[in-house]
Amino acid sequence: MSEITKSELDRRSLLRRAAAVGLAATPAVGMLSACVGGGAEETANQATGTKSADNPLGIDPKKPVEIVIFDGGLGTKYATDVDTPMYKKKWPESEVKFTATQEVSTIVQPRLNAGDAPDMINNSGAKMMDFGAIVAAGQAQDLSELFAAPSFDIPGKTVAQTLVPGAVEQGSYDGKPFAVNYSYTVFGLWYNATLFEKNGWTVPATWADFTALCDKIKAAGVVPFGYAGSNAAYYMVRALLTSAGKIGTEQVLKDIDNLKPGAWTAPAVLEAAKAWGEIGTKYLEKSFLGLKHTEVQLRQNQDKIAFYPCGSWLENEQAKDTPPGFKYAVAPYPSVTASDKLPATAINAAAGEIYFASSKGKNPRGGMEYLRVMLSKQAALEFTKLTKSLTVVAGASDGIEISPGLNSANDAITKAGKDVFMGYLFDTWYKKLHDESLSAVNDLMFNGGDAQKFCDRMETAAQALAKDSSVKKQTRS
Amino acid sequence: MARHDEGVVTVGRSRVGTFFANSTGIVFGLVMLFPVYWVLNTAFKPDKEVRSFTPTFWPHEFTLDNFRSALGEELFIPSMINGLIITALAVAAALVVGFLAALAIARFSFYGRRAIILVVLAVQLVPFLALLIPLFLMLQGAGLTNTLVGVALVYLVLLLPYTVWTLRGFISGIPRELDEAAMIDGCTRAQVFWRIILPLTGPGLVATSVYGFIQAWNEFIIINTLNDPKNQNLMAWLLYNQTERGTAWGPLMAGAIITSIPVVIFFLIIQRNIATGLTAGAVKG
Amino acid sequence: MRHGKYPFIIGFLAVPVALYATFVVAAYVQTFQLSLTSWSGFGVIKYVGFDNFVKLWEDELFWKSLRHNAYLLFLLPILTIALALVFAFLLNVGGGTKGGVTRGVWGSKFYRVIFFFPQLMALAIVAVIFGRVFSSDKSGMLNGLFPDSWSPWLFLADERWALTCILAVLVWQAVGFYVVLFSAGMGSIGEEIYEAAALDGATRVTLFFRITLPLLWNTIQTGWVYLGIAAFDAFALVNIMTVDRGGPDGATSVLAMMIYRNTFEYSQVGYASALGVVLFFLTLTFAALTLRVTRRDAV
Repeated sequence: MSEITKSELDRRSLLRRAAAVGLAATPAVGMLSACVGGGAEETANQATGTKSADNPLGIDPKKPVEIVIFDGGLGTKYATDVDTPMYKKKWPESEVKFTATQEVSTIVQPRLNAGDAPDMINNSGAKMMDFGAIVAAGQAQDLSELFAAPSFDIPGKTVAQTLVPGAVEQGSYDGKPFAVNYSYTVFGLWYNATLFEKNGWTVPATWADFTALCDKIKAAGVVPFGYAGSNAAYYMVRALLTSAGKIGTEQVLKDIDNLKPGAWTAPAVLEAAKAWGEIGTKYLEKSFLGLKHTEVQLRQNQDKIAFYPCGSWLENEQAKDTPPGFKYAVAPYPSVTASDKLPATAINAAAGEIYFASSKGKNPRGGMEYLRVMLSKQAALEFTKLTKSLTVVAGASDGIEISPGLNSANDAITKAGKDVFMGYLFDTWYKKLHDESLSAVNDLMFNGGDAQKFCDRMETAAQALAKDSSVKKQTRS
Repeated sequence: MARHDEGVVTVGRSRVGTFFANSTGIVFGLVMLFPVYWVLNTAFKPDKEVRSFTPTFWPHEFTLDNFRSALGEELFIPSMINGLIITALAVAAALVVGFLAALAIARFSFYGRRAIILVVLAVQLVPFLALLIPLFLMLQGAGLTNTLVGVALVYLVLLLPYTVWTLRGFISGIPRELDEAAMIDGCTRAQVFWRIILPLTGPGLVATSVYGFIQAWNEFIIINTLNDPKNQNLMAWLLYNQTERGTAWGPLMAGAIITSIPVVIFFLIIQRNIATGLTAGAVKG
Repeated sequence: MRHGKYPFIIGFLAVPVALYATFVVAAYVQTFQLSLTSWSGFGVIKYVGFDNFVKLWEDELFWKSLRHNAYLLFLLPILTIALALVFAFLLNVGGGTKGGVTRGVWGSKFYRVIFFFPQLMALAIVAVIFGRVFSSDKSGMLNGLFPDSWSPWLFLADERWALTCILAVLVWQAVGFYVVLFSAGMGSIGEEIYEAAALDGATRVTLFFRITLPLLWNTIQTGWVYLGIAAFDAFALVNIMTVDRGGPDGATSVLAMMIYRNTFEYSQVGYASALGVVLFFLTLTFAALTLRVTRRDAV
């Protein structure tokens, strides 16, 4: 059972992004821990050392550093067996105090409030702390120096330069970086490379190729495209909006997030909805509306479905059901029109899983140094091997065989180059609007593909939300 | 409906009618039993069989892995113990408090009696979901969120209306003359309640405790809202497993079986009394 | 007998009244209060007058959910009670007679036990299993039973039928209990009553309508109340079984589901409280009507 938990937790890293931007709508239990106290007063006796080329963050090499790692889907092995030994090798005199917990807020929050904070914290899991509140309370260390410091093992580059596009921004608040979002999820169309090879099917780059291929697949008795309407319609929303983003750049999605009037009825969204609505009408099976994600994913493992829109946790989630010979691979969503502003290789990928140094710790610089170790190429590769999750360290797993799906995801990022975009955040900001998008996309895909209706419906819901003063609004730029 | 010697009464006499009745009974019984059978069927199947595309109606390979897996889960045993504690607390408290309240309502006439009855009746109609937020805030204020006692208190309130209502029916059914006779014989009023009414209410107490046990044991929304994962009952644990781990059917069903054991045992023990208890309460209600 | 009764009354009622005052009355007062705010569940509470109710009035999903609750409130008791009566009748007198004594159908004692099973099973499990029963493709148990040439029935994935599936499960869950309840009630109706009626030449149907039904009337009314409560709730099944929890496209949304979502997922505690207030008045109306009907019951 725990196997499944792991992947489920990975799946939920999507939701964790809410907290990555610091705006988690924490349910029920969140009420218990709503307040993050104090912030103004300085903590005395913070350890510092002399900065040098060897010690760019100026840590005190003799001071111990205390870290707290969430013991969930990713486990803690990457910290105990990889990061800590690497850190100790570099700083043999600095002791690493390590705590693993499943309840981050229970363990850490009282200590933050009492001014007795650990130095580096992995804020994650169902009981993660509201990171926005922590930043607002001045309890997170400004990580600008970390990102400007030279990389731990890539010569000639700063830490920031070794990361994928957008990685620093995702942990930034009012322009200042406070968190490292370490793991990296790639979204796209997942398929079985073996099945495609056997049938001579090639991954489509244009929409015409896509529909032509779908016809071929259908003729071969396989359902060309599928997603689970019952509980995983948000995969479909992501597919549709990624297409919209590729047609009209990420600005389309930013407008949607910012609840800009007309954002949902913009030509790019309409175009994407039309294209996908057609896929729904022609190539999707009606019964999928009643299925759960695991059921549809299982059918893909049985080669009953060709394409499935999902994130890179899929391979790990399905590990138990994947028959030998089934090779997961991911393709970017094909270009909808010839005039798409982003190339066909453009891909949607997002960072998650917060690690931060506490400004109230005794040795926050030590915590930052620990993060620098984590962001090294070597540590990142080991992390990927251990957790089956990519990291924000660009190309860390290039050329190394990890698993078909992860390698394929890694290739996709490399091919996309600068055209990797973060996507949208309204789903975590405005849960109600998100739920409306699920109903709307199911209606579009299973009920005749009326694109205009989809756009109008979402526009109405978004504008109703914009006018609702009881909902706190967020913006991004 | 006795068959009269003269053969006047014909109810249920025709063979066709009897056959029809029997078959309907069997079909209906099967429909009722089906999910129980399905739980058992799934619980003893190996994982790959559970996950196969077409449902199989009998395990081809018999396994106890699912039970091991469920029992091995970190919070399974603690959740079960939590559930038992909460249920026992709530049911016991409901019986004591409910019995006394029912006595007061059934045996005395006083100002506000009708109002109390109305409130009791209305409360059992209120979906508790509507009160979750204030309850949460209230218990939080009292430091009772994330405790077993806090949940038991809420369950007590939840169980009370039915308990009071049913026991009141029972007590009203006991002739007052009995009380009076006993008092003439020198019993105090308290002794009357303790020695006469309490024993005569026995079946009612049984019926309400069953009802209460089932309700409290199977509740998961309130406890899920009030408590952390460590202080859940088994039902909330199961629900978590259902939503978070959509595929783990086998262990889930095995968990369901283990979860039902206390209820089934409890039910089988008092099974004889239950129908009597229920009707007595209802008919005289 | 009047002597010294107040100490008893006060002693016996103090605890329950205190419990009610805090957990129900005070809680409801707070719900009323919160319904006038725009509180999100965190931070400051701001009063907004009747804004939430205006919003509610304009919320299509609210009206939809209300209709769904009404549908359940109407059909759940009727179907359950009707079915339960028929089966209880069968169990008690369906088996013909032997030696001058009427019997239920063969194995009726056994039935009485198994009819209770649905009550013993947790709703969460029931929902999970029926999710499989109603699965929308060939892997579903019902679809699996249909001939291969049929295209699968969508059940929960069909907007028109999804709520009926929920109703079916609710009926399934409740009916056994009422069979047992009504059987017990029928058992307590004296044999001589039937005999007398039979001597007057009453038929089976007449017996049922003229004797069984009226004598069970109070039991039936009690049942009606409890089924009404179930119909107002229905949260657990909708939450676990349906597409998109309340879908497809709101087709199975009920008030309780809306309250839950607004409270815990949308951080709109104010709005959720307004829904709670509406639910309060609805249940109260239902209670008043029920009480009116059952007034001959010496309250």
